[in-house]
Amino acid sequence: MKRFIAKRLIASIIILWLATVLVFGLSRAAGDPTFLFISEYTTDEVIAEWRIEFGLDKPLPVQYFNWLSKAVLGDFGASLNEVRPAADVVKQRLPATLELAAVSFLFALAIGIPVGVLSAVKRGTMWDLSGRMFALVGQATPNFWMGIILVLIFSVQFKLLPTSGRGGLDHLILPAITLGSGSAAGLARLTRSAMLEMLDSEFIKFARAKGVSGQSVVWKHAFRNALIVPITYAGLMLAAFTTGTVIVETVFGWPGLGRLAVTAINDNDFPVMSATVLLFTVMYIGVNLVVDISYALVDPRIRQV
Amino acid sequence: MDSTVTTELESTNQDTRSESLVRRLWQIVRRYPVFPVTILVAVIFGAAFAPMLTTYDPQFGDLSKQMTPPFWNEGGSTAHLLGTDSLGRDIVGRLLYGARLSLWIASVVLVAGGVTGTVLGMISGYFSGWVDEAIMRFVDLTLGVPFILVALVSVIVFGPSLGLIILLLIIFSWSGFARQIRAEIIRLKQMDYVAYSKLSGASNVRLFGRHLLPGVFNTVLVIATLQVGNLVIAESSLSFLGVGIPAPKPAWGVMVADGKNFISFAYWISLFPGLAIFLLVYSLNFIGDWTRDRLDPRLRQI
Repeated sequence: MKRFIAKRLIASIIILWLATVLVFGLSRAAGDPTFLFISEYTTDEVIAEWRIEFGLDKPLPVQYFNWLSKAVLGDFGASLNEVRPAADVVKQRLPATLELAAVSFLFALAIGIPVGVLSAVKRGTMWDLSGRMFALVGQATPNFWMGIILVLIFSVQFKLLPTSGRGGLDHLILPAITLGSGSAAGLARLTRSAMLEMLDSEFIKFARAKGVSGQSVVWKHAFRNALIVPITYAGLMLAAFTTGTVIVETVFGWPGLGRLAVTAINDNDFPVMSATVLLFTVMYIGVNLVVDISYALVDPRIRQV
Repeated sequence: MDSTVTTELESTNQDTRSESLVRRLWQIVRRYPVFPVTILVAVIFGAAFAPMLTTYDPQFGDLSKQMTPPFWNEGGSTAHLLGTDSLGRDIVGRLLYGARLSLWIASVVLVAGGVTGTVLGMISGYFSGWVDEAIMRFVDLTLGVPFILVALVSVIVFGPSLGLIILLLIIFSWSGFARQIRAEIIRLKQMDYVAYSKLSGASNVRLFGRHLLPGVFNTVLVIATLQVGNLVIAESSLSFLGVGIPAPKPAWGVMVADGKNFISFAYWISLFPGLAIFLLVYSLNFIGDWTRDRLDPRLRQI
């Protein structure tokens, strides 16, 4: 087990390191950062001075090392748009995204798992048919479109919920449904197939033969074992969420990291851009690591791989 | 009395016959993906014959006819069945040409990503060691870094273009193939027939082409059908954010974005292209599931 954790940890660090190279490389591929400050009155000498001041006269590997050694400490330089450190800008936006992601996550769990279980237990009935329908429809609906249609129905038509922005609970409902529904559908689908596999297995038949009650077989025996599959899906869900937050925050004007990433990239604000992208990557890799390890804890067969 | 009995019998006979016809139709619908295939065929047909099905230009509109509603709404006309957008472009026309873009991009990406992923996955699985390690770390990287952010940054850096978006989607899609095919090859290479063919002096090329490739072909097909829907969603999401297919082109994602700000009074601009994406992805996913259950039920976990 220790070996497994160590191996996963090293792999994660390698990915993270490659991601920093990628971010740095892309930000430098965009061209010399000094061009952002140049006006028509800037002389060549001033530009040369800037290049020395920002360390741009040094070879790229040295620049990368300097940038990385600061970035590790959370220093990404000053934001080019706002006159404050990029890290502060990012820190201010983080809670909004975490709030949205947490609520969407709970929403996906609360819908996806019961639908999946119901679908499997009542296999072949109308319940199952609608459950599978829900899974297929949920996974095929592009969330940017779903957000707009929800706004059309609940904000424009019935005037029940606000169209955009962050505020009370009512502001959260539409974005959370939009972000969580795809994952809820995926979860329902995986829970269903895992439950079906469990309900067909020998130990469930034995439990039934022994006279364990129906409810107990479903929840105590089958559900607990089937739960491993949805747990692994949590990693994939988070992957969907990073893409999702960027889109959902754009649709609903949610003041979080996703929208920050889009505006920073559009404004060529490289300090904020690299800070946001790396923060997303760290969260992404971190969650995948936790999922892998907890999966291996639950199911010893995984450790061999 | 006799006659009434026979007529009753006949009528029940007919009932069961018509009922069995309904039942048989229902069984066909349940067994084969009839509706999804119909939708897919319709989309392909629309894409293929777009210039013949519409007379409107997908990129230039009639500014005097901005935001005409669909024909069933007040103010709509049958000249523009689903209405026009804010630049007076016919929605139906743009949808048809948009189908071309979506299908074309999805197929190019699927073929390129599928071939790259399969070849690298086979190499990785067959030759373990540093080659395997390098390829798998690269797979980890592409799966471990949020795709959308990489796409956003690259588009800003290199400028939006069709080529770039295709390249990005290929990078996004090949790793799924590589991982699965690698696992498959690791299983296959321990089989006796592979050892025999090596013993009889088969070259690596022959071994790969004649003996290993046929073994993984079903898996490749299944992954491809399962992935294509996600590709369409990924492409339209990027187009929606303005970093996918460049703007005047009638990509469905771009069309949804076009109508976003007018949603309170011109719902049709966003509604129909989104519906088109949904229907296409729904049928592709449905057909994908069906193919998987037919060809390789072991992949059910994907």
